[in-house]
Amino acid sequence: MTSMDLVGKLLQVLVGLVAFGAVVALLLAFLDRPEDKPRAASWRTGLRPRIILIAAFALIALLARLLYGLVPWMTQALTNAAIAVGVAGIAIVVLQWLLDRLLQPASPAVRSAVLRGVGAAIVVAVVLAAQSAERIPALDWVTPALVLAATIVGWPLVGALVATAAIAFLPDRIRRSARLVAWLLAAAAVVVVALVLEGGQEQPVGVWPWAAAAALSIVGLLGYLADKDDDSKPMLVFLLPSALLLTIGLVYPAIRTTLLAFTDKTGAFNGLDNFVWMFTQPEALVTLANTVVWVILVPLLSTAIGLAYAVFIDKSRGERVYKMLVFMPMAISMVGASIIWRFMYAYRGPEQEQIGLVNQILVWFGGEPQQILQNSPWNTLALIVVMIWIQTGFAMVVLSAAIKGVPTEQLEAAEIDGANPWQRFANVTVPGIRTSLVVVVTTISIATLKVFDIVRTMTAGNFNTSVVANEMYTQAFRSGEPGRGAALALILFIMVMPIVIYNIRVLNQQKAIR
Amino acid sequence: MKHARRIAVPLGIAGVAALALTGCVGDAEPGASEAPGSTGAAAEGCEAYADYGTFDGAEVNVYGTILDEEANRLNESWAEFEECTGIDVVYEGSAEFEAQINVRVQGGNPPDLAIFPQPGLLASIAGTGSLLPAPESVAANAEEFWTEDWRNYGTVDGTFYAAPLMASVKGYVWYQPALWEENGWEVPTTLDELDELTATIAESGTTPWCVGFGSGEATGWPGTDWIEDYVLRLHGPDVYDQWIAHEIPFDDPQIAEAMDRVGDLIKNPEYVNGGIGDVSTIATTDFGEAGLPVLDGECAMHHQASFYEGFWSDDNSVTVAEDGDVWAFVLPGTEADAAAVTGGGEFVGAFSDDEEVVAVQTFLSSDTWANSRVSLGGVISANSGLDPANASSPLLQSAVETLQDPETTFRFDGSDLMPGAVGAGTFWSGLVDWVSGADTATVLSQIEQSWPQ
Amino acid sequence: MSSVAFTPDPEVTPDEVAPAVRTRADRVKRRLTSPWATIAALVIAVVWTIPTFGLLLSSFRPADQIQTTGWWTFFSDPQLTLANYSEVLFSSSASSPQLGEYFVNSLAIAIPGTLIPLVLACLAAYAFAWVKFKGSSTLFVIVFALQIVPLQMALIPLLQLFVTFLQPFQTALHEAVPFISERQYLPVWIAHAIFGLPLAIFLLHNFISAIPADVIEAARVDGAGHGQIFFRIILPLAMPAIASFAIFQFLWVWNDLLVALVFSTGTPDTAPLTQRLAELAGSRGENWERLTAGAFVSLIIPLIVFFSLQRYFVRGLLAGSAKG
Repeated sequence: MTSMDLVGKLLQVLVGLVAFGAVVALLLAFLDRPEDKPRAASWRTGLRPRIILIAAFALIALLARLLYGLVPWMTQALTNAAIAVGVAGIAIVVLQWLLDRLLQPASPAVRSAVLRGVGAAIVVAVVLAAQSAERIPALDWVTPALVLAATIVGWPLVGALVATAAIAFLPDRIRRSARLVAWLLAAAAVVVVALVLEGGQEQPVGVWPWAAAAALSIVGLLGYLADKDDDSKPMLVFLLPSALLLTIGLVYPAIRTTLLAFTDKTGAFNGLDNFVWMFTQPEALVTLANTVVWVILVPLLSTAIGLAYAVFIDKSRGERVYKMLVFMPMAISMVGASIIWRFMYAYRGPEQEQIGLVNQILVWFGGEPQQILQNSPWNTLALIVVMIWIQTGFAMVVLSAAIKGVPTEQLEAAEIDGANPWQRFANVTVPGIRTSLVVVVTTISIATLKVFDIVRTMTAGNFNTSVVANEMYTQAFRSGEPGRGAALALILFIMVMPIVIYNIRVLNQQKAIR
Repeated sequence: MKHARRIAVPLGIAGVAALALTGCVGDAEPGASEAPGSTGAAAEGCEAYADYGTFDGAEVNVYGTILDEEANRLNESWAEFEECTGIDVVYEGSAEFEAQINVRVQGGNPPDLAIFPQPGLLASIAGTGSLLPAPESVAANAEEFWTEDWRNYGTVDGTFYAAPLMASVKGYVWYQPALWEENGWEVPTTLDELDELTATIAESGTTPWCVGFGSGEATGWPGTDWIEDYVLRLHGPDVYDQWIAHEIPFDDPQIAEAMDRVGDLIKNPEYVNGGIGDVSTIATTDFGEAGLPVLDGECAMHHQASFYEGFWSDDNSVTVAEDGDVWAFVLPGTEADAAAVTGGGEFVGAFSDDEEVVAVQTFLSSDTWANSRVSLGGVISANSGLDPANASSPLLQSAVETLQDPETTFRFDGSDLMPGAVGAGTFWSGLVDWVSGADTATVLSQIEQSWPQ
Repeated sequence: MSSVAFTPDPEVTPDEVAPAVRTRADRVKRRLTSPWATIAALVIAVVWTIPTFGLLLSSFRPADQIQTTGWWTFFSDPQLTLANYSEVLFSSSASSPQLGEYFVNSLAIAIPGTLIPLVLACLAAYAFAWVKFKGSSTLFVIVFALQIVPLQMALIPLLQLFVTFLQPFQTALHEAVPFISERQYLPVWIAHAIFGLPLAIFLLHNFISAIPADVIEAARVDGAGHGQIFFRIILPLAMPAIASFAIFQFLWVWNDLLVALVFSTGTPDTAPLTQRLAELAGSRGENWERLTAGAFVSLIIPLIVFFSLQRYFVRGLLAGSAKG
C-alpha cells in the first residue's frame, strides 16, 4: 500500500464524516427559531467578515493556479473547480453585499423576491450561454451532455424561482403551501422535460434529471419546514434521515420480497407454489423444524446463563475481568467463531491423536470420538452451542447493568423481611429487570432467526442442520430460485411476529405508566 | 428562516457560476497524462501484444473463483500484457462467486469480465440477458485453439459467449510408487482390475482408499466426480450426455449401477478411510487434506483431479513423478486403452464491450496467454496452441497430451452442467447423505425429484 | 421508574438531576454470596474462554503441529513460534495475506459505519420517545419490525439503487479529487447505516423514553426547544446507552462479511479484514496456521474498543429501562 492510497482512504473517511456532519447540522439548524441564534447573521452583515471572505476565495483560486503543474494530483478539473469556486465566491459576496445595501429599507417580501429574481436571471444567462456554447470559443469545454442538463434543469429552476418570488407577496397562510407546490411542480417539470427530451435524443440523459428533481423537491420541503413552527417540524427533522434510509434500504426490499414470494424462477406469478414446496419437501420441513429449535433454545439458554453469571459476579472482586472473558466471543465474528468451534469439534479416528478438544475429552473419559457435526440431530445442538457462546456475552452485559439499577432499598427491605438470597433474586431483582429481560430475549431471538454465517461455515446446511436464513440464501442465490428464497423470508417474518406483538404490548404498558 | 433562504440563493448562483467558469485553464493540460513507457520503452518484448493496441489508464475488472496463490499466478500471467498495453487488469477472487455473481448481475453491478468455473452457471447468467456474446476476435481464437466439444460448453442457445480458460482433468488416482513397488501392486488397466487390486491391498493390511468430500459449502462435489467417472466409463459418452440433459431420469438403473460400483469401494469399511477414520469421516474430511495419508502409506490410493498435484505440499518438498514420492494414473475404463476422461475448466464471459475489455478477453483466449499461465505452473489448458513442454510437471504434461489427443473422449464435469438446484445442490448433499449411510435408491430418487421441472 | 439512569455521575449527569442513593448502594452488600455462586461463575468463565484460548495458543504453534496434535499438548511439549503472525502480517511474498491494508479498510468502514447510524438513531429515538405526533406508535412498530427484514433479501434492490444513483456520484468525486479512488467506502457505509438503524432506534428508544417526563417538562417550561432538550438533556443522560450501543454496532460492522461481499469492491481498495480472512479459509481447505493468526489480528481492535468503553457498561445499555 502506498502512502498515497492511505491518504486517499483517510480523505474519504474525513470527507464522508464532514459531509454527514454538515447534513445533520443543516437539519438541526431548522429546529431553532431565529431569536435562539443571534450570531447567525453576523458574517453576512459586517464589513470585515466580507473582506476576509473575499480574500479567502481569492487565495483558493490563486493557490490552485499556482499548484497546477507543480504537483501531480492537482489536475485540470480540480484546478478549474477551485478557480471557479474562488471567483464565484467573490462574485456572490459582492453581489449579496450590494443587494443587501440596496434592499435595506424594503420589506422582507420584496427582498426575497428581488433575490430570487436575480437568481433566476443568472440561471437564464447560464442556460442561454450553454445553449450557444458552440459559437463561443471560451466555452468549448461544454459538452452536449452539459447543455442538455442545463436545459432540462435550468428552465424549471427559473420557473420555480420566479413563481416563489411572486408568492412572497401572498398572505402567510397560503404562502408556505404555495411555495412547496411551486418547487414540487418544478421537480415534476424536470422529469417531464427529461422524458420528453430522452424520446427525441440519441444520447440518454441518465440519472441526473432524477437527482435534480430530488434536489428541487428537498429544497421545497426544507423551505416548507423552515417556515413552520409546530411539533410536526421537529418530528420530520428528527425522523427524516432515518425514514429516508429505511425506506430505500428495508421497506422497499421488504415489499419486493413479498411480491417475489408468489413468483417462480422466471418471474411469473405462481400462487402459493413456493409455500406448498416449503411444507411438502422433507428437507424444507427439517429446515423449519431446526429454526424453531434454534429460536427456542438460543434466547432461553443464553439469557439464563448470562443472567446467572451476571448475578454471580455482581459486586465480586475482578468483576471486570469476569465480564471481559464472557464478552469476548461477542467481539469475534460469526465466521471466526465458527472456525474456532470447528477446531473444537474436529474429529480424528479413534486410533489417532485427537486435535479437537471436545473429542479429546470424550476420549479421556473413555468414550469413542464422535463426528459431532455430522450426527443428526445432535449436530444442530452443536451449532446452537456456538450461537449461545456468542450471545451470552450480550445478555450478561446488558443484564448486569440492569441488576445494578435495581433499587437497593427494595433489596434491603426484602432482606429485613427475612427473604433468602434466592427469594430476593426471584421477587425483587427479576421483576426489577423485566424490561431489560424482554429486550435481551427479543434481540437475541431476532439475531437467532437471522443466523446464517454459523450454519454456512460449519456444515453448509448439510446433515440436516440447515435453518431458514441459510436455505433462503441457498435458494435465492445458489439454486436460482428467488421466489422460494422470498417465501422463506416471509416465513421468517411470520415467525417473528409474536415477538413483535409482545414487544408492542410491553411498549404500550410503558406508555400508559408515563 | 429568511436568512437560510437568502444563503441558498447565492449558493445556487455560486454553483452555477462555478460551472460557467470551469473552463478557465482548459487548454493548459500538461503532458503528464501520457503513461510512462507506453511508447518508446514498450517496444522491447511487446511484439506479441502489438495487436491489442495501447490504452492509457484503462482498467478492466475481472471477477472469479480463483483465490490466493492461484490468483497471484493469474495476475502474473497477464503482467506483461498489462505493461505493454497499459490496461490495468484488476482481479477480484471470491469464494462466494457463485452466489455473488448473481447478486451483482441482478443488482446491475457486474464486473467487466467474469471467469465462470462451470458452464451451467454461465448458461444461467447468459439467460439473464446481461452477458454479452463473445466478440469476433474471441470467437476467432476459439475457432483456432479449441475443439468443438470445448466451444460448445461456452455456447448457450446457439450463441457463443465465452472462450475456455484453464482446464483440469479429473479421474486421476494418486498413489505412492515406492510403496506399490515394495508390495508388487500393478497399475490397473480396467475397472475390474481396480476392484481386484483394492481387495488385494486390503488383505495386505493397508487401507486401500482415502476419500474426503468436504469443501465448505460445496461439500459433496468430490463425490460427484466419482459417480461421473464411473457413468462415463461404464456406459459411454451417450448415456453420460443423456443423464446430464435429463433425457434419462437421474435414478436410471445405469446410474444406480455406477453408483453401486463406487459404493463397493468407498462405502466398504474395509477399504476406507486410511489414516482418517471410518466411512463416516468421508463427508467431513476436507478434500484438500484427504489425500495426504497417501504420503505416509496409510492408504494406497486417492481419487482426485490433476490440480491435486499442488496440494501435496506447500514448499514442493514432495516430488510428483513416476519414480517420485507420488504419482497418478487415469481411472481406467471397462476395457484397457479406452481413453475417456471427465474434466473441468473455466470460461471467460464479458459484461462490457469496451475496447479494453475486448482486448483482455481476446488475450485470455489466445495461445500466448495459455503458454504464459501454464508455464507459471500448477495448471493446464486445453488450448491447442499450448506447448505441452510448458506444463510444470510430468503429470501435467501427460494431462495436456491427453486433452490434445484427438482420440480422447472428453466430457465436462456433469454436476457443473446440471441445473444449479441439482448440480450445486442436491447432487452434492445427496452424496453426503449417501456416504453417511443412505442407500443408493433413496438418494437417487431424492435427487431425481429435485430436478427442476 | 428506576433510579439508575440518574445516578449521579460527575461526567455525564447535568446538575439539574437530583442526586440519588449511591452511598447506601455501596454500604449494602447484596450479592448472592455463596461459594457455589463463585464456583459456578468460575466454571462458566473457563468454559467460555477455552475455545478462544485454544485458538490463541494454536496461532503460536508451528504449522505442522497444529494439524497433527491438539493444542493442549503444548503443556507437555511447549513449542512456540511467531512465524504464523509474521507471515500473515509482514511477509512480502505475493501470496501472503498482507493484512495491513485490509486492516485500514476495516477501520475506515467501521468508524463511519458506527457513527452514522448512531447519530441518526439518537435523533429518531428522541422523536419516537418525546415528540408527540400522529402515528408515532405505528411508525415505531414498523421500524421495530424492520429488524427482521433479512439482509439477504435487501441486497439486490439496494445494490440496484446504488449502481443507479451512487456510482455516477462516486465517479464524479474521483474525477474531481483523483486522490480518492473510484472504489469507495460510501456504499458500505450507507448499507451498514441502513441495516443498523432499526435495532439502534429500538434500543436507544428504550433508554431515552425512560428518562423521567418531569425533567423534560421542566426544561420545556423554561422555554427550551426540541433542539435544546435533545442536546442539553437527552444526549448527556443517554450517553451510557449510546456508548454501549456504539460498541455493539462497531463489533457488528467490524465482523460483518455479507455486506462487505456485496458492497465493497473486494479489492484491497475497500475490502475489510473479514473478506480477506474468508478468502484465506476458502482456497485450500483448512489453513489453520494462517486462520488462527489472522483471526487474532482481526480481534485486536474490537477488544481495544471494548476495554476503552467498558466503563459505560457499568451503567449500561438499557439500564434506564429497568423498572418494575
